[in-house]
Amino acid sequence: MTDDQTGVDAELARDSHINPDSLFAAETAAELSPVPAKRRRRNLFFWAAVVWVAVIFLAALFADLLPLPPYAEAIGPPRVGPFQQFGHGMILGTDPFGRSNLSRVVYGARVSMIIGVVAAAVGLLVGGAVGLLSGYLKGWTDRTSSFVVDTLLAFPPLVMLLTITAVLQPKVSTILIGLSILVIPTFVRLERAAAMSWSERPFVLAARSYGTKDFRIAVRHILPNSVLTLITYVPTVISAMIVAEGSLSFLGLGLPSPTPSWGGMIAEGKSSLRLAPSVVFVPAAVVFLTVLSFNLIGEYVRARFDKRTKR
Amino acid sequence: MRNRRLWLGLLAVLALVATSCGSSSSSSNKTPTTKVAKVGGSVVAVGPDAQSLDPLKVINSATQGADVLNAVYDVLYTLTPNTSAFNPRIAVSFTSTDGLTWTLTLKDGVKFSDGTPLDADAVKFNWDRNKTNTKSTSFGQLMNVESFTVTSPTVLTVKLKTVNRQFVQVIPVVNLGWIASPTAIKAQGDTYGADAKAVGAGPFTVKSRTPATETVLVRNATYWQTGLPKLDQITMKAVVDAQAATDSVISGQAQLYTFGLGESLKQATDAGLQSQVWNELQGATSMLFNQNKPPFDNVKARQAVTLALDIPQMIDVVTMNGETAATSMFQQNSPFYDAKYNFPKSDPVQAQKLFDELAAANGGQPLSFVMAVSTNTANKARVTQLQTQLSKYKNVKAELKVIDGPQYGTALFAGDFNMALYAIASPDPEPQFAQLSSTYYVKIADMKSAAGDAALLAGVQATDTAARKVAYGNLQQALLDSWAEIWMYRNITRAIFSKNTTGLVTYGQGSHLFDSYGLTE
Repeated sequence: MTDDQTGVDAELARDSHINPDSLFAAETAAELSPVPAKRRRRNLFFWAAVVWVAVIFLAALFADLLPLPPYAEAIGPPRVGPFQQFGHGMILGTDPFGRSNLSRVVYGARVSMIIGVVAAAVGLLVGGAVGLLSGYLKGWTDRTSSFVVDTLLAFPPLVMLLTITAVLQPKVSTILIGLSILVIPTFVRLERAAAMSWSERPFVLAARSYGTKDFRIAVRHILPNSVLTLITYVPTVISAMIVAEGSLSFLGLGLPSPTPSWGGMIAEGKSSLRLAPSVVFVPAAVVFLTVLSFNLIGEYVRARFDKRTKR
Repeated sequence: MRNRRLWLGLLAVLALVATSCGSSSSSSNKTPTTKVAKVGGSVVAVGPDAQSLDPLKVINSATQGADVLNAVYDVLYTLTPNTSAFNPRIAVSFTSTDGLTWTLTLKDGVKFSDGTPLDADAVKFNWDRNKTNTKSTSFGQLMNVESFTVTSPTVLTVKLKTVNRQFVQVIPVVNLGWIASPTAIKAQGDTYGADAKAVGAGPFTVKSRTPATETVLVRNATYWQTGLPKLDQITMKAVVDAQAATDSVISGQAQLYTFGLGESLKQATDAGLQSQVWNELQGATSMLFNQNKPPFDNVKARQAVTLALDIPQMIDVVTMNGETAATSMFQQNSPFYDAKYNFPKSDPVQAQKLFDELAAANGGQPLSFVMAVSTNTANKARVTQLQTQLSKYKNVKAELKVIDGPQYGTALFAGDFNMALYAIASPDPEPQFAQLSSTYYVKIADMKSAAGDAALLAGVQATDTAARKVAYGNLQQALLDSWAEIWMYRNITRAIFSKNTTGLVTYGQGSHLFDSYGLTE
């Protein structure tokens, strides 16, 4: 921002008593007001999903404070089914090595939550920023970013993840890098489309004609409108990341033992599937419920905040 | 040199995988029935596929897909485990009076399926190829060979550099029992074995082959054994997953699974199928300590971990009694077995005491190390269980490092491990126990024991069984003294097959001969 431009902005506002920002606000209100949001029934499933995700988050966060047996040690016979014994940490049974399923599910939640949330956050921030610049500035910025994004999207995701974890040591940071690279293009696409759409609106054109600089327009006028679209996508991305981490662990390229992860638990129980299906069932059920919950929440958030889905 | 090292590493991992999935208790090398196969019919066999049909590149074990090569090439001879009785096939004898000069005598008139003779020249061509090509899976076994000399169309003389009175043990355990047509190899060059054009003198010829998918074998009309093979066709389908392979036999889609786990055997028995167990290998799958770097350059660390681990418990947990724990280097039916060399049992109290002492001597730091294992599901479960056992001790921290396929062998060869899963097993101490020596060309299982080296040398130079027993007693004592490795479970080969088939024969490290295998009347 140059002094000249600042001066022009200020002068325009003072002389004409018109603030470009108020134009945006007026238009947004005018656009949204004719179509009032239908009140959606927050059904039981949604609240159950919120409770489940909250429980998983809190368990992951305070795992060290919970009265759980160590996740690496055998606490009883192997392959005990859930709700068959009620000793310390035995309620969800034991894995093929006699370790507590409860402990491993709780500590595994840490891995899933960290990976899901951080990868989605990185995707949101980096993808959102690139998409915003790409969609608003267009030109060579758009061409360059579109080329990179198209290339990344064309690459088979699982192959990319397998390559990254095979070359680098499988650990949380490695998996995070891989998954973040995977989700960034999606956020770029979303934000770019939204930014392109908003950048042609009259209030933006007005701001531009008043000499408002690009950065200010992008951040003050376009971003606030488009960011909700991105945020509504986050829960869905988190659930996809949980599944992706599970897939990697299932293929043996996840975190090394004894660090628990839900996918790793499923992989370790695979060979016992015929004799003791509960070994796989417990982590699979947790993955299922968590992914379902994030999807339900994502669906609700999208219905609530994404103006495109409002009816 | 790099290429050679790569292949040696590959060889090592293949040797490991070849013997890594064992279990069960009984043993036999013949189908346990008196049924006789009829001539004709076809079967579908499932199991691991060979990476090539070129004998040079394949390890002679069912887990490496060796069965398809047995069908195409037959084998020169087999040896009865423990007695080492010579069972002639294409070769009628392989003898030596001094352990330096060995004479191989072939059956007269055997021809390859392309009509060329399988004579001493053909054997020399094949064995020379293995001796000079570093990619050969038997390259190391032939390093002691001075020369091969054809003395008549049916006689080949092998001159060794140093005395080895057990050289006869080498051939059926490695790839040297498979003789391919020199004419075909010369014509096809480096591509030999990559497709269906492989030529041998075995009971079957290759009709079609899609690597890693399916090989169709049809009766060799010119097979040297009259009236054999029994079958008109065997379709060998590559199925890697043990459960999928077992299911295919149980469901009747296939008639034979050539390499099952203990669990496969149990399921097959429950389903009323037949099975065959080859538990004739001495030695075991073990956890090696890398003595060349900390912390296992310290004998106290090796001793602590050895005493901490409870191998029978690991077997019980991971395989539900599907394995046989190795309580000694040799099985009880071996002439070299002696109960006084049995491995020490787990001693958690003593182990903890040693862990505490090690930590105290190391500024309070726990004994930390990495256990390497390949991506093989069963192997990974075994090592994970060992890690779980160690987690109950204080002052010790074991991490798991899962290494993919060929890289595993490379890592072992490079010494890039603290502890690693590795198998040393053959029907006789020779040739596989030679890996324990510090003079062996691959330094993976080296015990670093002068007494062990001397015992191994005495073992191959001994003139009778009594002397060998003394030598291998010394070897066992050297292993106990050095705490060099934790020998865990026997290496067993299992085949499961449908009720209406019979005649499968197992030999060597665990691979199968198909000439007498067929459908029952």
